[in-house]
Amino acid sequence: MKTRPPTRRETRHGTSQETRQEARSSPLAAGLVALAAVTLAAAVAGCQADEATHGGATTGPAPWEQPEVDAEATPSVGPDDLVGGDTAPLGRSVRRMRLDTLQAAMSVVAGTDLDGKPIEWKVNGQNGFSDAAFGKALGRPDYQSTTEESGVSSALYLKFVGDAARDVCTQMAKNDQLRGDASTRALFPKAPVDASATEAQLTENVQYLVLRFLGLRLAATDSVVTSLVAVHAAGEGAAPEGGELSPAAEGWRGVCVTLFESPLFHND
Amino acid sequence: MPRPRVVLGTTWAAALIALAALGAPGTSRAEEDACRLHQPIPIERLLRRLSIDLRGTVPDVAEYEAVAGLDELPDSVLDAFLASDEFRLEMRRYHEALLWTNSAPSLDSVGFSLSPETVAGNVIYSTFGRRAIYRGGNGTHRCQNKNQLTDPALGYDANGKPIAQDFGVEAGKPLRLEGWVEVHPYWEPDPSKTLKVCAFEAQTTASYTIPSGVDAGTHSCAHVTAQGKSDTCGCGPDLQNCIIRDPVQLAVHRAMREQILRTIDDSTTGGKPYSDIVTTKRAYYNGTLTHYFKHLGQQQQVSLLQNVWQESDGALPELAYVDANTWVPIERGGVHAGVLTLPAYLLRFQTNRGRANRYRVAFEGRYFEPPSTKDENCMPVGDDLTTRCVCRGCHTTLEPLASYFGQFVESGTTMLFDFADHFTTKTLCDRGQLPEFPSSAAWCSRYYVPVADLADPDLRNYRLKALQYADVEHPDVQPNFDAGPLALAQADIMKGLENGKEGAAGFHRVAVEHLFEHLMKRAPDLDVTSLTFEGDELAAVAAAFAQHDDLREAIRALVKLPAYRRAP
Repeated sequence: MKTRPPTRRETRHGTSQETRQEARSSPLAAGLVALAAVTLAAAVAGCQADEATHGGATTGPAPWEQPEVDAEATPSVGPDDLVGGDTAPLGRSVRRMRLDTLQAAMSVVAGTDLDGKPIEWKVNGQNGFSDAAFGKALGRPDYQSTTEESGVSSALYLKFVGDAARDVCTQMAKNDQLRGDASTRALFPKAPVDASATEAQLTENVQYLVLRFLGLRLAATDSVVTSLVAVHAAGEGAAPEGGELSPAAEGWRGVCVTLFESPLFHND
Repeated sequence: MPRPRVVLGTTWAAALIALAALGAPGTSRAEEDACRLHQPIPIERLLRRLSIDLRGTVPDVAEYEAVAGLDELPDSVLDAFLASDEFRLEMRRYHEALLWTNSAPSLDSVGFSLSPETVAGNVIYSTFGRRAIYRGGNGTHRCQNKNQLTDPALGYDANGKPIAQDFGVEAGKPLRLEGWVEVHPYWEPDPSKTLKVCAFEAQTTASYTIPSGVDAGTHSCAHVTAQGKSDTCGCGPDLQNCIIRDPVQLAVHRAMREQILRTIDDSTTGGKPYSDIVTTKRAYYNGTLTHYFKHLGQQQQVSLLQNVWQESDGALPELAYVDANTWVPIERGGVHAGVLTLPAYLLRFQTNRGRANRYRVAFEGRYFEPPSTKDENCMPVGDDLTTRCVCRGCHTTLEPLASYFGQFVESGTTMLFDFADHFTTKTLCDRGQLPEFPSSAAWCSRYYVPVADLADPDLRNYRLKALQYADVEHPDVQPNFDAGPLALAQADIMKGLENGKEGAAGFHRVAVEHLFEHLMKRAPDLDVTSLTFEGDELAAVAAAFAQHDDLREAIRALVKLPAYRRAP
């Protein structure tokens, strides 16, 4: 395992471990931090741990601590992570899915209710992403006043996605609770919700959901899987007494919201 | 063994943070040092990406399971996506974003638009623009809330004209008011349903007569020139010559949108060549559009939209308004050219400059930009924008391009192919319409503009407006006008075929660049000095596309590029 000294950012803000400690002391702040962090996760795409590997250097101080480009612009060594190595081949850029696609994708993932109707985000009886609700506010183009849909996830987009996720996930959990045949469930087909689920069942269900929501087939030991198992446990523990959802279903609802809010759901 | 329930008040937030801090999926312990940027994506994510791009939604679990363990996505999956109806709909959205063709102009004017008013519980329909000639007075009155057929003071005279009650004189003119009658409107599928319509508006007379003067003779009631000429012309049988905003105008807007999308369907998934999209003479008409262009388009005031059906537009099918779901292809004549001359395009871009500019963006991949340097040796003022300072930077290109669309009236869909290019006098211009219509100075000034003779300014020709600048200083205007948008499109299509891989601005090359941007969510790297130059790959796809002219094959080639299959 490579080691490096703390970066200036870490010196200023503390390590992620310290952040977690702070989060424990303030659940609300922690939730906001968590949401922001989840949102940004795709941008770093797993590379936050190795800013040195791209440039080839593996040790030494972080580049921004010792900038070596002088004011006279004489040739000097640039920051480690901006020099050297082969030019990476171009891939696809990152843009969020269109509202039409988001509207359709959430319904595909959410499945149907007990009556066979697609589960969708409902606002005053309308699909929340439709133009009759928030579609235009979210920027769906009508090619008159709005001619282009932004591919950037705005604060408004994130807010409504959060609303949609909570609403849809609640519907999914409620419907699943009433389904006797586990194989017909959308949210917890692999694990019972009567507090009898084993760790293996929980893990398998998380793997299933990651595939269903994100199109990723992850190993049981993958950090995302284990973290989502922890999200489930936290949701289960935080379930209100006498709520509509059982504690375990509440846990899966939390996993569901996390996955719907993941940048990996919206970007690819 | 059941797992003990975890009850930790702060575990929820902590777990979320842990998930976020761990970054994106794929960063398992063994891989945590490996950057996944630009790496090929897992097959499930590729499936998801393709499904979103080609079907507009994500795959279901069964589809993910079907590719489990495969190294490469089977061609059959791509084939199925490209053959799906969802792909057709995605291509509709793609082309709407390219063409912005959601026009919603006002299709009525007060002369033939029926408006409802509620009077003592009765909803009575009447027009605003004909009140003066029907009822006199100060021109603001609708009919009385009385049944024209049963009220003893009303009824019809021997000629079938409604009898109106006298109400004295108002604003120096006699005021007379009739009652209402129940009429089945053409837009109502149920023949038993009726509306209460003022009896003058409900008249079904086909023609009227002007006894003397320059326009003496019998003329059709089914034309805007009848409005204000005679109180015997009404809305016609089943109110066919009148419009109502809801539902008729809304339905016509919807039908125009669907019409252009059906032409797009033909070229994307319907088996027709993709270039047909800008060249085909085929157009689809349903009952809604047929009724509109048969009965309503020519009722609009000439100062407003002009959507007057012409003989060269082709023969409209025999469909009733309520046949909204029946679409019949017709062959258009004249200079019609694919989507470029369909109402949805012509009404979305109402000037020839606007039409040319959108064409240039969508099919030539070029955009106008203001000059970055001071313009010199030019005309500081003047009407000719091709010589005027600053303006000329764009207009020397735009004006000849706009001339290609000159045979379509601005602010309307009327094709001028059957119109005279010019009239030598104002009188002839005013009488320039077909003989069954009276002369109209408004009509002349709507379509024609006086142009002074260069040798003798007292002589003035009345030229079609698009030909105002067709002279020796602007030699492109007349030939471009004559050739029409079809020639423009065909020239761009030929560029790709002639130049092969070098067809930088050809129709197919530009289409490939737009598709690339759509699929890759970024513009291609076309900098020849760049290490990641992508021009060769695009040129190869475009060259093949110019030959097979099959959009699906072009998309298939693009999604097989390595760049499409990499992580961002």
